[in-house]
Amino acid sequence: MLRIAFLIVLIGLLSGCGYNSIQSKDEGVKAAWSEVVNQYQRRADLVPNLVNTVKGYATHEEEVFTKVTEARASVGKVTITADQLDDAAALQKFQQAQGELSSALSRLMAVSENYPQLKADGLFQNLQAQLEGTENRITVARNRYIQAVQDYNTFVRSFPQNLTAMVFGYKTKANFTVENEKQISTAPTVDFSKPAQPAQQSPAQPQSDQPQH
Amino acid sequence: MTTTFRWLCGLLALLFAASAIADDAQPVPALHARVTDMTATLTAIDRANFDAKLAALEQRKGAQVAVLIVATTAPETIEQFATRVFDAWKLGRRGVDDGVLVIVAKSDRRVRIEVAYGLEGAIPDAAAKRIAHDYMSARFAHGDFAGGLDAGIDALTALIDDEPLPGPPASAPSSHGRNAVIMDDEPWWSPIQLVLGIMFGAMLAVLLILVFMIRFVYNLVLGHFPGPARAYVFGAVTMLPIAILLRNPMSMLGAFATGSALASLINLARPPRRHELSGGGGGWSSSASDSASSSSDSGSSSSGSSGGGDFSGGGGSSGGGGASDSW
Repeated sequence: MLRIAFLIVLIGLLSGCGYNSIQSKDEGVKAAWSEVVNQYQRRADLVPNLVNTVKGYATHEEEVFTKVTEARASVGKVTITADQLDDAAALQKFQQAQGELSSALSRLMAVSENYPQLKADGLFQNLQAQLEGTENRITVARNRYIQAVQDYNTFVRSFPQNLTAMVFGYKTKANFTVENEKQISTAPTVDFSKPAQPAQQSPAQPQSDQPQH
Repeated sequence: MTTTFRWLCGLLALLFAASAIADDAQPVPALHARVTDMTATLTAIDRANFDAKLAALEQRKGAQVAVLIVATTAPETIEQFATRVFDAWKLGRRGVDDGVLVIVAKSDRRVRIEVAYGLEGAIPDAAAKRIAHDYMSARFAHGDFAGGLDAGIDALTALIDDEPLPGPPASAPSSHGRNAVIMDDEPWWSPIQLVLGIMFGAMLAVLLILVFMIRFVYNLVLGHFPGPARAYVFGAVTMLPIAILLRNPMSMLGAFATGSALASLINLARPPRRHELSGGGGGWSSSASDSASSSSDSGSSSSGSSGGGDFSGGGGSSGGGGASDSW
């Protein structure tokens, strides 16, 4: 009996070796987070070009442009470094800022649906492709971050690693919440119900008409 | 007592070996050839044609392009499915990440060109979108899948040919990363570590037994303990260098178990007699049996490597780049 107890105590003590695993998983989470920030930044960088291209055709959609520009500015202010990942509230704010930019962008793209010349413009199509690609990259990066955090959190909360983690001050890391994820993943809706442009817009259209083929 | 202890060690070893968990395989088609057609859309001639083109591309540049035709990707979007397939197939060379995956979902009427990290310069999203829209979807809309894929492959090849990719194409498929690296981040209950501990523990224990034949050393270390505990102390002594070297609880356990088992086998509880050093017989038996047992792999080999075909992924990864289109 004593021998078996001795053996069990030994196993418990030996698992302090979880320290190394905590380090590598922590680094994995940080790397995944850097990738997420990278892709969000890439999207933010696309916005000025996109706004300028759409402005060239949709001259009276000031409200939408303002919203997008404001959202992009606020995204630049809310940043999270890899050290702040323990803070769930900070991540929440970050998500919210990005979510606002997402919805502003979807409104912008929805507006562009009303302008066939804009849709046919090669530059706009390029930017649209880039935006779609970046959104997909963001999704992939987020998924990988979520997996890395899940891996790390599970490890840090399991016995006996949680003892090591407590001793060295390793807390669980924040993850993306489901609410915002749903909001962000809403596809842009094309709203034909409200009148697309005010009545005085129609005479303005032929002026911007250029032979497109 | 020592017999039950040995049984306990054996049982623990068996239990941990049996608990080796393989990752759940998603229903991603296995990768055997460059062109995988789950819908029997392409004729054998077309498949061979595309395969030859893509094989030639890989010979020239090292980039791996694969085509997959499925009926539908539901309930996932084609982007999610493409990501999963790419993660499993690992197209492109490790480190270079020069893989491209073309997925056609016939019933969904969607096509996606997934471009890996290394080719994002040659095939930016805008170019991928153009290829998908102008070359592929345009023809798919008329039912010409072979023509669309042909044009798409040619366009992709042209872009990749222009891109300076590093090094000559790799000829040998890369090894399973997970199984090759043993010292990496393994969970602490890994059976491989147990086997390592047993092996090294056995070797070390044999060495230590020779050392402990010196009566002075024996008395110094084991003399303070009662007879039956000496085997376990010997096990702990065996475990110590393994702990420093391998730092993994399972190897330490294996070393401890092996050391103790060996010690009890040769009846280490009895101190060596004075003339032990000169090789007399007595309390210790001359042969020590190796208690190492082989256990199964803890491998979770990804389905990226081929089982029977002659095409396998090179270990590359993708970040979600590329473009999709529908018709």
